[in-house]
Amino acid sequence: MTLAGDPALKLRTDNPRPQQRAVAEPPVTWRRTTALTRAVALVAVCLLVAVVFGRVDLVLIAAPFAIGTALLLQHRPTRPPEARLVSMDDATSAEGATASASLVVFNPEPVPITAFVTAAADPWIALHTGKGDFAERIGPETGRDMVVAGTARRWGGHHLGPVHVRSIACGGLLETTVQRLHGATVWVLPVPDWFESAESLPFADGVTGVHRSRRGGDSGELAEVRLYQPGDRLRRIDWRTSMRSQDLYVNATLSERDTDVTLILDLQVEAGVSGGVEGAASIADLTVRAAGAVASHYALQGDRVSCIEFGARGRRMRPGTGRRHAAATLRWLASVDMPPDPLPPSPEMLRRQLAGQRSLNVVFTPLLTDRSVALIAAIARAGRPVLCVDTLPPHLAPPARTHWTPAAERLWRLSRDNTVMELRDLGVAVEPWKGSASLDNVLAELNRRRYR
Amino acid sequence: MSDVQRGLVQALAEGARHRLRAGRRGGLSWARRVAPGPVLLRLAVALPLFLAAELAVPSEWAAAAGYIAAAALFAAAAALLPGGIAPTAAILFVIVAWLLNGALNEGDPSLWTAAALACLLYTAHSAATVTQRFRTTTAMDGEIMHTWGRHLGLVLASTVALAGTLALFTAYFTGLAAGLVAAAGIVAAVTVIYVLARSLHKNP
Repeated sequence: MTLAGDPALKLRTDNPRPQQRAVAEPPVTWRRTTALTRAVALVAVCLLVAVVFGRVDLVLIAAPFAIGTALLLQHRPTRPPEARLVSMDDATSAEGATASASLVVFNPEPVPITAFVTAAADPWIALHTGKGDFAERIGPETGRDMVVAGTARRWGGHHLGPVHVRSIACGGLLETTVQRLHGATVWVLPVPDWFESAESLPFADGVTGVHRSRRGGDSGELAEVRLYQPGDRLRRIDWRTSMRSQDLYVNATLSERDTDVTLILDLQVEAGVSGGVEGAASIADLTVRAAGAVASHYALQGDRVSCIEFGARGRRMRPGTGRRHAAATLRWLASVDMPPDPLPPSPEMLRRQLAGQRSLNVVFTPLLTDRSVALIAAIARAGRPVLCVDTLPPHLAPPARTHWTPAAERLWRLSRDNTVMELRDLGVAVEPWKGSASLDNVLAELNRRRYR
Repeated sequence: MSDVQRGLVQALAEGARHRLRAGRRGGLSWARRVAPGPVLLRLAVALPLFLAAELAVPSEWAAAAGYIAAAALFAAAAALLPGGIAPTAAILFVIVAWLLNGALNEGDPSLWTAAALACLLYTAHSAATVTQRFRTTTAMDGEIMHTWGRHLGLVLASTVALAGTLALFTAYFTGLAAGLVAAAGIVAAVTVIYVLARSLHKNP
């Protein structure tokens, strides 16, 4: 067989995209409407019948049509109006807030016109009444700013558009062809659940922060009372103990430092139907909102927070701290996407991306795949502190297809409970996400294990 | 029983239930978003057309159920589809009814009835012209309605003035009617040709 006849070479490539010629938008022009044709035709027919049958009443019936048409067509526009979207760099909003795009329509003619705007949007944007389908009057030789807006119901990148603009003049007797504006992408940031943790983190190893470290230093966290050594500060002398023992004793304290928090998002499987910000949460919703809450809390507290995707895309967010980094993390989380047919990620490759031996790893996972269990077990066996946040929504259940479904679900849940117990035996703290202070118990457990 | 083994009746019942639920949701959504401007304009299309159809024929015809149904159908179609052929068909229905009434019944039709018909028909036509592209949920600028009302008032006043003038002239000069019709026809034909030429010309 020759190479040219090899059937393998005739196979279509993955993700085939048919070749399409770029279609240029037709120019916007003025044209007459059905109403103008109707008015002219009625006048003609009425007058013809009036002349043929000698009916003066038909002249009277035709009169308002002729007068009205003549009055309306006195001043006619020739140049079409110009409509364009106002570009907004990095337009963001929050879940439940208003996502909007602005457009400007300029009327270059000395005749007033009416701009009729209709917009479409992503299903996750509920267009406000009067903000997605409206008609505005534009004066002669002026422009007008208009806003297309809707309520963002779920985090992510949502498209607001296309926006169709049609202009109408002469009371509706003339109209332009439709001008199609492609719209804009609005990034909707997830609104994280409220999360507050009073527990200190293990392995505080940075420069300065709020967590108790194992090294000595100036702070209020008492480590021991020991004999005075040259170099100790005089204000650290414990006078009561010194008086009792006749030797100088000082209070030694542990320094308070920051730590690295690495958030690992298991994005292999999506399950459940998302109901938006006010509805039921899917796995992706729970993962993104929980990660946003934990990241915001620790970044604002002064710890270095980084994020890694354990999914098809394998994105990584650099470590950082502070309010600005918290906002950047939310923007990064809004870009989370779960392709329907993903390549399975490698636990080994992800382990190599982890920052240091002493950072706290928080894995947000629904524990639905062997790979995620293997990843958590591998991190725990390496001696790294790991915290597993269970992001399987409690209401989630397989659809009832046969009478065996409840029994199969029960077996599957028992098997999952076994997996969780095995992980706990490995030293992994597994906790379902419950919002505020849901991780305090497991963090305290980690600390006890650390300082035991 | 699996999805594959689901019976036809059950599948059809579930489909109907889904469609009913979607329809109810859509109806509620429409009721929440409906705007007063386009609805008023559609009423201004339907009501004058129906009234004109009732006015164009004698009371015996106007009370007939078939005629009322036809008039209501034409008027409703024009209000629901103001951008299509429906308003033209409804206006032609009224004019044909008026002509048939004049042809079948003895005596000249009243000039003032014709003026009222003209005003009603133009009201429906102009309202359909304004609202032809708008949906019932389109939020309209108040200025659009204001401009339409002003224009309508001016045209209706002109029509009434013309009717008065015609009534005055035909009362005193009985032979004027035929000549007037011919003159008006010639002037109007020239006007229509002029308007058509200007509107079809690319750069007028």
